[in-house]
Amino acid sequence: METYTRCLVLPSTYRDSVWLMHLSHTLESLPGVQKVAVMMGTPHNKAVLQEAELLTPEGEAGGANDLLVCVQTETPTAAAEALREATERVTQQQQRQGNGAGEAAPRTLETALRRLPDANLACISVPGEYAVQEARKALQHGLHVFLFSAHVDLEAEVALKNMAAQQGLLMMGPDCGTVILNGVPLGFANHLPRGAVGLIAASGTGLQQVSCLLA
Amino acid sequence: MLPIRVSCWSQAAACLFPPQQVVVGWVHSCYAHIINVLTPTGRLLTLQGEGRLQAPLALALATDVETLGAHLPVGTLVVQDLPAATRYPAALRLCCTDVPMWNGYLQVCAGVTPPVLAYLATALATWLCRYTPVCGLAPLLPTLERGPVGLSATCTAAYTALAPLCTARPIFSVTTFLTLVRDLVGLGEGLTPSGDDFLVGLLAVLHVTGCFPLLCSPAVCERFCQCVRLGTSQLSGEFLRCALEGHFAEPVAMFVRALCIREIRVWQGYAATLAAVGHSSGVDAMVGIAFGCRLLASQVG
Repeated sequence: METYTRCLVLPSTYRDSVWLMHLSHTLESLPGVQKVAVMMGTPHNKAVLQEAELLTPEGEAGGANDLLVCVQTETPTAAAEALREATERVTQQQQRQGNGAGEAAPRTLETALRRLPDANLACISVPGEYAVQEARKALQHGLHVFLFSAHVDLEAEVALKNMAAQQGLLMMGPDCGTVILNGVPLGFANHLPRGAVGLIAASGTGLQQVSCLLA
Repeated sequence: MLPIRVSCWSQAAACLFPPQQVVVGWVHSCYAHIINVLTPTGRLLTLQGEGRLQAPLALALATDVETLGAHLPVGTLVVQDLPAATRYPAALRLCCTDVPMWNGYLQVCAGVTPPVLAYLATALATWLCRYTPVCGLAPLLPTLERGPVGLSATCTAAYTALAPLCTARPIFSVTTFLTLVRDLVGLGEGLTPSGDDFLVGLLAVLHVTGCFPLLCSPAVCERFCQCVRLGTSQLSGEFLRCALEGHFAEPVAMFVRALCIREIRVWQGYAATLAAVGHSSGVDAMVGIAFGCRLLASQVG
């Protein structure tokens, strides 16, 4: 079967590795895409791409500080579509950064609530010594609490749970690593189908195992 | 713009700041929660938010770095917040007085004998195969005994460089070291390619075992730097240059120091932290450490 290879060279483009991995996975999932490589254009990487028949003369011209996005597809249209998607994602991220310039990330729970007045749950992941105060504040605002933080002493934990129970709120944690609430994952969670079974456990890993077996 | 306070910095970064030098450098790149700044001497500083220092030349700022980065186009001037800096058209002023310093320099650890290295190599390889079996270069570890079956293109290329050292067990010489650098630098996925992260791990082992000064004369260091300049990105090259000088990012240094204590309950917490760095950077550095321990186990003494 005939294949089509195209390379996009993004000069002096730096993105963190997790973003690069996501881009690679996104492009791989597009229709008609057979192979994808997203790499810095170092000499060794270009040799690997050449070996994999993923390097074009455009890619060969890229340097070690350039990001190469190389695709092999079943049709020329699929290749063009994949590179268009890659370009769009790079541009989108730049624009997102630009748009965010006027509005700093919220630094307090109160600011976050002003921006999201309908929020009903707070995820708290701060060092343990500050976690109790933040969790208490969230409960006072009528929010359910997912307390990812550890190192909260037992007395404080009991006090938080009593406070939550009195208000009919959930107080999950401290050291709560995995939750799926109404199909929404918080912390670490497996991808699971929705069903009629609810699970709760003191052991997050055990709970994940049981939920996976049920699924 | 208001000055931004530097809340912590690495010793290696602090050394690049003479107290009265106004110009820190120019913005080189911004992504996620990182701003890289190119200094007048050609070094790359990493500005980050508060928390563990993610680079050997890191400065933690008491602000939201992602938002800050959106205001800073590449090439804009960064200065120290000094009286003399007012006449400079800077987009970012860093307040660097009384900053707590973190030392990421790895010193020689006296207890790391050949039997200890052999133990650490096995223990770490076992940990990696158990917890991160398909991440980065980790799949390489079991294949060094059994052959390169089912490896990715990057792992296969790394296997070609590393396997001869496991089977023939040559003396780990300057030539071997420079050949490894030549074969691995700039190899693989990620912002810092896997081969570079591996070499960072290997260099950490050379430093804690005391092998580094025996192996790396100034001429060897110059050849190393030349390979790095030609073979990888400026950003990744800075990490390698720092590793050559003995300076490491906090997760790497903390892990190696914990590893030298030789108590799994101590080091595996740091291993988990390091494994979470980047897409596979932390794991690749640990593979380099495991391989370095294995290689030197039969040669140090």
